[in-house]
Amino acid sequence: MVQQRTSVQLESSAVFSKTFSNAYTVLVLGTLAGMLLVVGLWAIGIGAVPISLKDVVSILGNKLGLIESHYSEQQAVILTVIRLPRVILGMLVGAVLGIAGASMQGIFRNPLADPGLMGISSGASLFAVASIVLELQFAFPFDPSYSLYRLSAMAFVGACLSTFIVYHLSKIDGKPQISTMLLTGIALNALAGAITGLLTYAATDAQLRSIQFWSLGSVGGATWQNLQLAFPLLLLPVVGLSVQGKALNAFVLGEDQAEHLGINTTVLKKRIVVLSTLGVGVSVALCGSIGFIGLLIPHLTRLVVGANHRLVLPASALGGSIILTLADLLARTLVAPTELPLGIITALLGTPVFIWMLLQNRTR
Amino acid sequence: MIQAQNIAYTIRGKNLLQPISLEASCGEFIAILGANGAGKSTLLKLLSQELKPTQGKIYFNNRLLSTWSSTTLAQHRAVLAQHHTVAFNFTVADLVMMGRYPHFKHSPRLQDYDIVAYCLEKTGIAHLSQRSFLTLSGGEQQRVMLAKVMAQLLDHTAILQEHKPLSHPKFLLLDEPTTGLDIFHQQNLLSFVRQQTQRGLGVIAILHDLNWALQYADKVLLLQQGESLGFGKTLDMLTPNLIKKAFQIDVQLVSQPSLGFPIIVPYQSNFFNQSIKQWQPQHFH
Repeated sequence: MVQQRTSVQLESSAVFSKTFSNAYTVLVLGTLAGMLLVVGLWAIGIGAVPISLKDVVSILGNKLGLIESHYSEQQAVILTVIRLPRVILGMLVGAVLGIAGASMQGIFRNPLADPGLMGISSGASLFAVASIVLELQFAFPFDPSYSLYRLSAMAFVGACLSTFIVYHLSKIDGKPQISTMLLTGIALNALAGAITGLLTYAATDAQLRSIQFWSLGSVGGATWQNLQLAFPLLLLPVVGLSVQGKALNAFVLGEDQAEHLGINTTVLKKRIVVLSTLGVGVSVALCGSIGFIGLLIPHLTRLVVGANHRLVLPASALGGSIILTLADLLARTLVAPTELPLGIITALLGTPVFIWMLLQNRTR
Repeated sequence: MIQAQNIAYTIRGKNLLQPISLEASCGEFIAILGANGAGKSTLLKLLSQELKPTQGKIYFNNRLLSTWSSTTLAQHRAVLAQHHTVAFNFTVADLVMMGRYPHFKHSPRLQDYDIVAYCLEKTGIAHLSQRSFLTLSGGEQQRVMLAKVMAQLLDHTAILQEHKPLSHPKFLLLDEPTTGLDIFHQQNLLSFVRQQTQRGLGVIAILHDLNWALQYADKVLLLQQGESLGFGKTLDMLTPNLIKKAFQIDVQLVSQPSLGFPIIVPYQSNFFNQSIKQWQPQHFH
């Protein structure tokens, strides 16, 4: 009996050498977290006023009360007031887009799904554009900061509303049907796109510029003030989605099979839709729509760590963080002193990578 | 024990299943047989709670099936589907581990790894454990899914003490499990499942091959157009008469002294006469 037990154990350690061992999970996530930290510290230092890594560490350490050090006050202000909130917002938004993309691909059981499929981004865009275009026509004397919040609030409402509509239209006998959700999402995307186009047509030149800036995305609007509001709203979906790995794995077999494994699929779908909408809605509201991260990051992650969602979900969050931080670094340094929109960078770099991945898959 | 009392299923005014009663005890192998569209899959879906009966009651281990929580139910019964779609590139080991999902919350425990390794070995696919499911042949895929449902039903003592009966009454529902398998793997799968019934596993399987049913099933439920033609001991149910009713074919049961059981041979009456007429040279005039 004793021998039998050891032989089984030996086998199981061989069988699970890679994909399932907790050590592997810790290793992958630890490496990614380390990369994120390094990339973050590096990105904070780069810009019109360069700050060396040593100074970055001494300023941050001092502000946190960890160490006593000397640094130039000007550098400290640039670091803490301008760069730090921007990098943190970028990381959070990247994490949300990455993990929401991975979860959406999971529940749609389709590697081409992304958060935009539920109409989150297009609904947000529609409401944001409507608020830009109709704002002047109603001619209220807005305080500029208030108008920024209004734009974000409108975008968030648009994101929630379109997801809500898609989710409820997809219900058959009280249960949301994934295939109907997909089709409704596509239809609503087209409708929102058409109305957005109509509004753009009616917009003035100045409005067009702000629409264009908004629709291409940027994390440049980050301040501690809006970060305070956004931080919990972005962190909650990341944490909430990253523990859905087991359920999403079972979902890969199909809804009936997942039910047979004890997963309540209706609750799972609702959770994923609500958390993704919250996260992506807030990020679109603050930064505009940033394309490709939600599609690309989960793909890249799967190529590296395999398909197991227990690892894919947190790794997509960390990967999204890293890539968005780097993309934002390029956006603000490539054509300094001005900035490129973030969405252009992600699409420019993302498209070739994506096509390369498709070709890899084809030859496999 | 699974008890179905007068369960029926109607959708959009169409009766897919007339009231049917069925009782399956632990350790029994029950085969559901019938022509295409006879309601076999509907019945299995009712028993697995994929569908809710429009009439009648189902008891699972003496408790109303609908009052079981999905997790507890999953710990006591597994379902092997006919078709498998796996959306992503999961490895075989990952998939078989899914069978353990009802038993742990977030991360698998050591014993879960042991059970998965055991099931991989028992189904003969341990060497495939790191392969991607999507690259496997149909027969290999079916064995992976069999390993998955076995991992779902076995517990740690069951793999350490192979001859002891299962600690809890457990059931396995199979929907045409031999589809797409060659005859060797068909037999392999059925005899493996049959072995498990000796440890107290209850099995309800939709089968197409009457001879497999004859060899492996204790009892047979014959369905025809949503109605039960009877439920009873295999040899009592698989008579030429009832088979003719269920499938509209003529069969003979041929006994071979060297085998312990008869063989069901289908034949077409007047086939030879007809076929000879067809081959008359007049066709070529």
